[in-house]
Amino acid sequence: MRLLLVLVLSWIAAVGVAHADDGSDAGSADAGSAAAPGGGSSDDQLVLPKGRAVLDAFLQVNLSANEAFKPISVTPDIWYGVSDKLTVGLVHSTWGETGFVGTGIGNSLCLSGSSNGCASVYHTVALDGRYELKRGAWAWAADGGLDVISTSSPFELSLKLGAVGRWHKDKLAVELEPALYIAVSHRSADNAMDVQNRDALAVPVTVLYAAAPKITLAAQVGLLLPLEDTGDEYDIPLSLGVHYRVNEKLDVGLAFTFVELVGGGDSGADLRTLTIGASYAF
Amino acid sequence: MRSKIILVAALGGLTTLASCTKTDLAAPCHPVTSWSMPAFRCSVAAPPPVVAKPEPPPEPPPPEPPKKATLTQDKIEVGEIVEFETGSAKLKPESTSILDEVAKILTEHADVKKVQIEGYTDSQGSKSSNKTLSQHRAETVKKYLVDKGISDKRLTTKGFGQDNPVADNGTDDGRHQNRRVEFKILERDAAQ
Repeated sequence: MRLLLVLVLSWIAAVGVAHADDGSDAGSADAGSAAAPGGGSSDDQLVLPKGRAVLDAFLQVNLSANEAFKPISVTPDIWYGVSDKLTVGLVHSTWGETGFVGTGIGNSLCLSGSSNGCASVYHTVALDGRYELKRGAWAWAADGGLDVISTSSPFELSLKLGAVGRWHKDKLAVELEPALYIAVSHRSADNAMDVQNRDALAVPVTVLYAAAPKITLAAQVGLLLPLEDTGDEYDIPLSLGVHYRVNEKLDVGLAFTFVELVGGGDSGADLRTLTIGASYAF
Repeated sequence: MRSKIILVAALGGLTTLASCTKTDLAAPCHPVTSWSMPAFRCSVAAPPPVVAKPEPPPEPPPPEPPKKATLTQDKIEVGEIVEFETGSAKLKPESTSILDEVAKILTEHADVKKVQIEGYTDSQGSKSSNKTLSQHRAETVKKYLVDKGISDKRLTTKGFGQDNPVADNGTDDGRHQNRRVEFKILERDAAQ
């Protein structure tokens, strides 16, 4: 618990330092953004404007060898701008929870049944909050929340302390979402077969490239690092995806993920998922 | 059972959040494709153009001071008394502006061929001394005008002393009005 306290205080201090540098940075105009009316520039931000909402819905399909379509899950996330600085989200997808695409198989509304890989129908949920630290060409937000990693027994709850950043210039954007997950419940295993809830560090890094006005290509790599048995359990997933912006409100996309392309396990390219998603802004 | 309770709570939350949203698409913000959702891009209003402050309208020219001297058919009227030192023919400095205007009129009106400068006094003192004083005062005025470029041939002088008073010599104000200089046009070129 002492470690937990230290980490929480460190995170709060880090957020405070970042917030102290909260100067508004007018981003350079980029080819990917519409020119601002009146000749102004446009700023990226990682929170919603006050009163706006975004609904993300993902269909996650396991495409692993010998386990194709087992399971299939649907993970809706909804984000709401409480103020121009603070956005809260009710999140079911691993994408929304951690920033990693396609790594959570069987999350949330798991539709294919327990015989087809679902631990339970409603397996994960998280309450997430983002507080804007900086907007502009380099946008930052503090990100944290409570993640229910498993609603079924044993109940697993983690505290998320992180940040999310986005840099963009012209057609290129780079995003990173480092976060520390602190196991709040089920920190110790009941028996040898039990998998305990562990503290972990996740650092997804994504590169996005606007190939056309409505088409964006994305590639993501990152590090999933349990703080115990790190050498045996770390994962480096790789995702490749494409998005199509239907209109100003709707964006659709799909991503193919090697969940453990490199890591402590030996699955290699065998563990694969497909994520089909849509994002609708209200 | 626990997962069902959480599911119901989550769906309730979703419904509540969705019902709270505003669909103000006119706002200058739009979502951008991101893998760290949600991300928006918002317009930053350009600072208002610097509009040059309109030049204030030029101040109207100050109203012309009332003329101290005007030309009539047979005389040059002066609006103020030409003042001299008491008992002296020495012109007071504040009266020079009156004579400057008289000089200006004479310069601009060459048709005024001859002007008689007439000096008057009040009734205090002897008649003869007043006459002498008024003559001297008229000559002082003539000299001033000549110095201003008026030909002395156009100017004559005459001292009337206390004759022809225009006001009551029994009062200070009346006596002040009687101590005066008049400019009588003796000859004027009608052709001009």
